[in-house]
Amino acid sequence: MTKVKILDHELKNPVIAASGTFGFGREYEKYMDLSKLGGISSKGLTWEKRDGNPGLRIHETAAGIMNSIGLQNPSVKGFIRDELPFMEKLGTYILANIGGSTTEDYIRSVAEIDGTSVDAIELNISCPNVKEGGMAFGIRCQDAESIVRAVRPFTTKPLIVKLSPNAEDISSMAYSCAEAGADGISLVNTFNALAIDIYNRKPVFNNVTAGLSGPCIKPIALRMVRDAAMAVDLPIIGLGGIQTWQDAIEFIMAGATAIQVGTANFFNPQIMLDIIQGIEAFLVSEGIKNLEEIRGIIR
Amino acid sequence: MEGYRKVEILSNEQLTSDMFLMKVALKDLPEPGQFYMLRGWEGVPYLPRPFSVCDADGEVMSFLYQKIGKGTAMMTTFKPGDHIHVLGPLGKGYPLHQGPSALVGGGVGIAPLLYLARKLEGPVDVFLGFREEVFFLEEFKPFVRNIHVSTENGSYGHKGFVTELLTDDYNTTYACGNMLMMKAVKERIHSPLYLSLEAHMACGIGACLGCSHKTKHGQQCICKDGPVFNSEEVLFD
Repeated sequence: MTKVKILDHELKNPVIAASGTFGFGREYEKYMDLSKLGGISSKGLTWEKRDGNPGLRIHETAAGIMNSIGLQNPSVKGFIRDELPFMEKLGTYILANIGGSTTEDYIRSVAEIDGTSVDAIELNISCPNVKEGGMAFGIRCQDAESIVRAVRPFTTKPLIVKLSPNAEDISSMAYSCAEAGADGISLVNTFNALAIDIYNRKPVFNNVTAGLSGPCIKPIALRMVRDAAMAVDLPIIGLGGIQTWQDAIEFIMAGATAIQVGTANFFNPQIMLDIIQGIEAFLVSEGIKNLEEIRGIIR
Repeated sequence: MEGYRKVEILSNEQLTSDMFLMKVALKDLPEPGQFYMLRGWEGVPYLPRPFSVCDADGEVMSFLYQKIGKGTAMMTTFKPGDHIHVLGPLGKGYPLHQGPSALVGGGVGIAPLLYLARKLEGPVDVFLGFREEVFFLEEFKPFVRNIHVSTENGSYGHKGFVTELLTDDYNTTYACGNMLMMKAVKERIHSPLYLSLEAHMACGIGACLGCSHKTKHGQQCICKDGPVFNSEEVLFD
């Protein structure tokens, strides 16, 4: 009943672990049967291995967190060698989240992933925490369009573009990505945000700004998901502060085919199981046969 | 497959102006140096907080904490009979070597050393550094040979930092405290040394990479690969 179809692939349910909050699944193996998830999006991968940012990386806010991890990752090749063999056996939809600094890096990474068992590529043009970490491509439509167009010929896998909420205009951004050949859109990544240490009179983060996530961004993310869903005729994966099954249903009603849970995994490693159960119970109690019935009903 | 567990608070005692000891009904017997994520709230504060095990006997577990921010301020209001959620035991603890051993802790960094002192065999000397107010000396007495104390204002024991009292003539030295102190201990001790590091962390299980620290083996998570590290492996800026 909770099954959803995305890009010719049937997911057991619409609940996917968001990139950067779930490692490569391994860390959560102790806490859940990972095959119960709709899917897992890998930690953001770059062509070169990265150590991430120095200094403080996590800062709590009133209803969420700010992070400045800086794409710490084992490289695309390291992922394929050390992590994918574990992930591909999980029996769930695997997305490889790809970031980069240059068009060449994006192309190399996408081409390398194309030859693997990964189910889909999530093209991250929205990481705010590294210089040219991808967000450079995620603000203006023509930049996003050029990067999607550049990588498109190098993979036959579904190409899902992950948008930044910092984009100039979300509707146009989604439309530009669709025009350039994206198969799907996921949104939103974190909001570029600032916190200040008033006693030291310095920004909390070495990079000055950092990415805000958690329930504080949910209403804005939800609005953006609806904007994107109305702008393009592609499957949308909605995310941004989802931490309850009610949140998930809202995103689906706003037009999302699937949803991702991110920051909430940090305070409860089993929260996605609760969300999946909650969605199921809601469908039963409301007499809804499948999620298609309610998808995008809020226009 | 066990996630957060609901446990009952048995006591929540104030030790000094800002140090507290909370005891909960928890039957685990973790390794000394391991920690738990604690959450006694929903929504605000958003994240759970990591605390190392201060003592455990298979029935009762205690956590030492310092009132610093929103989370710990809220913890001071918890009463016996209240419940909190705990995830753990997490991370890697201290390896137990033959004595003589030195235990070095600063402030709230004393937390894991009491449980460690209880578990170690052979003579144990403990070096405790405080800012002004001294606590826990009586608790250590049954398990240790000597207690060396420093206070920053000189109100008790040596005036200054506890690292100034430390000698490098033990089989193994075990330390816990802030990064500056851990760096100072590492500079002073050249025999086997284990450091418990602290960091802001969101998940406690190696997923968020918020507590990533530079080591000889590349970036490692303090929560999952530590919090206890062999000092040879840890790199400081």
